[in-house]
Amino acid sequence: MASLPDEVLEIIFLWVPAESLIRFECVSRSWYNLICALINDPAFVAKHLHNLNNNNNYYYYSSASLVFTRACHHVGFETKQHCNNARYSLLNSFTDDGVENGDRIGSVVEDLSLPLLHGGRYRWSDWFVSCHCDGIICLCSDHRRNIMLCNPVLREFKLLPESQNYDNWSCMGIGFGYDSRTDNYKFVRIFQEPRVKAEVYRLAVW
Amino acid sequence: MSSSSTTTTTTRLLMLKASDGVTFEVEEAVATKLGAINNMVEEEGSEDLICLPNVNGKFLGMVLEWCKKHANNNTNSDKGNDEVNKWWDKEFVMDLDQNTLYHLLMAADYLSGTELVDLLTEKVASMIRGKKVEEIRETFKIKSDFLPGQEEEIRKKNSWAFE
Repeated sequence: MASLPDEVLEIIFLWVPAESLIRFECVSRSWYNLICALINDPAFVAKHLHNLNNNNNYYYYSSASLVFTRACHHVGFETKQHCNNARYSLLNSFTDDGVENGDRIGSVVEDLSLPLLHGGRYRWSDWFVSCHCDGIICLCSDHRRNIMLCNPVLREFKLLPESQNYDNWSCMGIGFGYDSRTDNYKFVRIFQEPRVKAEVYRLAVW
Repeated sequence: MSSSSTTTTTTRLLMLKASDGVTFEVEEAVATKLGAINNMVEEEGSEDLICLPNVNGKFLGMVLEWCKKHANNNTNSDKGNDEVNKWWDKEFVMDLDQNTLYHLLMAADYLSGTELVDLLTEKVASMIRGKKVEEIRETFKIKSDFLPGQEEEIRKKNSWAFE
């Protein structure tokens, strides 16, 4: 299987789950460069997502990720000062019944650690999962003042800019989803008082 | 005029010559399942002998076997054929050893057989997902060319993916 051209590897990688893909960055320099470029390429990400959502091919393959909170009794090494009650974990389960492998179900549980934003001002226990779309989770804290988007599979986090209206207006709801018309993800925050007003944040595809 | 051109397209035979001199006589409708050949036919028009210096006879034969199956089933398009094709494809890739799979994939890519490339790349993907880095290097005959420390750095960054 020596020296497959990049364009063929790219098609193969469309059928490889993100976990494996990230691991394969270590194979060689050229794989590292290719995979890094692909996971930052919106077209690749969209096709990859489409493949995993429409796995009606003969190599039935599926993977599911579940984010959950769990009680944390021990003190984490780097998060000593924060780790008091709960933390987020990610459960990945995958089935793989490729023809020669036979049925196989695997799972991995991994703690998610929050990046040290604002000098460690935020703790995991302050954040709540508000909504999610295509594997991107929208977390909020401080009565929806702070919004963070998290791609747990790639371990990437993005803090949205703070609303300028927040001090004077009361927020009645937030939402996060995919807008097929503009092919983009949007975050919406709706204010109620003193009058109804909505803020929309457009995001580049993750 | 239109009737004569229809007759030509359905019955015209092309001669494909592989790198090792092996030739295949195939219907145009079969050979043009391959994008590269379709382009050559459209560009060159009257040329009936097509030389393919990058594919040998064994793999060209396999690619054409796949084309024949899919071209035939496309002509009488009822729903059941889809299922038949899927089963046929499954059998087709089931027992391929790595070496054959590699050469077949290279041939399909060179000939722009998009659907066949999809089928074969999925097969490769089913063989590599969930595998360890060392196993991948073995499968793809790749030697790590990272500088000392670089690989450890990437592993550290992605430690969650190495469970």
